[in-house]
Amino acid sequence: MPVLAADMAAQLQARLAEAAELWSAHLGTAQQQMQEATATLLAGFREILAELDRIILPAQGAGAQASAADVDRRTATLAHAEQRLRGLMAAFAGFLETRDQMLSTVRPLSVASASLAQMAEDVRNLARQTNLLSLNAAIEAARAGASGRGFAVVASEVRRLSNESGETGKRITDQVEQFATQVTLAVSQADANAQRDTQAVQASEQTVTQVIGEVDATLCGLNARAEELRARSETIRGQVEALMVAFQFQDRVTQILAQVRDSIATGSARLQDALATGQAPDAAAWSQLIRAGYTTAEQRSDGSAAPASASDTTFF
Amino acid sequence: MAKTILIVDDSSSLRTVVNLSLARAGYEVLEASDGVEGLAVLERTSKVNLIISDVNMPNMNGIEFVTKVKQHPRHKFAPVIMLTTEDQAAKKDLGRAAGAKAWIVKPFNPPQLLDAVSKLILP
Repeated sequence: MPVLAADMAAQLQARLAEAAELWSAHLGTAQQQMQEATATLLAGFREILAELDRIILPAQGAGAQASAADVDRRTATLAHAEQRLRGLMAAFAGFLETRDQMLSTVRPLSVASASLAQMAEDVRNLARQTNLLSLNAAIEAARAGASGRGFAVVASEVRRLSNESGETGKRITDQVEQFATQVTLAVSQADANAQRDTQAVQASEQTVTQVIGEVDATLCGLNARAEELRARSETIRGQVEALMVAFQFQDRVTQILAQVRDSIATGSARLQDALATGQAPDAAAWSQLIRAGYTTAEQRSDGSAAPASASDTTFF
Repeated sequence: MAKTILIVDDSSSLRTVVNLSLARAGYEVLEASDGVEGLAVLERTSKVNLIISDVNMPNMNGIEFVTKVKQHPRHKFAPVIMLTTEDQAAKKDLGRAAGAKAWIVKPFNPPQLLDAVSKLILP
């Protein structure tokens, strides 16, 4: 086997030193970039987790009972609103009742006006009969001659009074009829209004029930969506945490690269020494030298082992 | 009052991940990037309930760090969990001899770490 010339050995030493230095520098750069990138990614994930916590934790509040408390609060608010609206409707109903009571007092007036008309008619009949009586009395007074003259004057006065009574009776009848017509008209208008008011109050009650139902449904929907958002945030938080845990690979890669850098340095030094002395390193010693500093199973298997996964804890 | 745990590891990303898992479980977490810094943190801390340490670190490795912790007048009773990529029995023996109570090989999963912490942590 030809021995290397001294200048050739020196050149090889120089090339080897240059290559070893270059490889180490690149490995160092790769290590540093990976560390920095991983740190940036982890810091970002940490921020995301903090944001997710701000969404999830206030909702959890005092614990798992929070959503039940939300439902209770919503129910109480709705019940309060419904109570106030129903109170308003009750006030309207009270007003209608007062109006009905007033109408029930007014309604008998139309009956009373009929009685009044009858009484006025009775007065007119009395006047007619009195008129007839006074006529008869005048006839009888004429028959009596001079002795009945005074009685004839009385009969004439009675006749005049009976005529006036008849006129008064007629006026009363007219007034009573007019009064009765107006009362009947007023009562029928009030009845029509009452019917409309009652229908309006019933429609309002239905609207109140409907509105309360719609508000309840909307709040239920909002709560359900908020709950869904919380659940999704929880899932995302779990996934982000899992991703962060997966970043432990960086620690292993760093250690593997560090060993490669050390190995390049020691191996290159050993080879330079060999070139200087013209003595190749012993195979077993060389193998041990370039494998020194292994920490992981992947390194010990020369890269054939699967990437490590979590293993059991050893307690001492 | 929250229990205090010291993490000693030269990888900032690993410290972040461990810190996150422990903080979520309600522990107060202190960090150091190697054995020397770990001892300095212990000097200015009145009590740590547990220590989690890497093995391969610059300046002072984990085995030496644990050995010194076990000689520390105030912190010698603090239980130590080694969290490392080293999985060889010879290394584990060194850890046990130095005074560690448990050995977890990276990568860890958070429930596994929290289980070991809850079993060993001082009241």
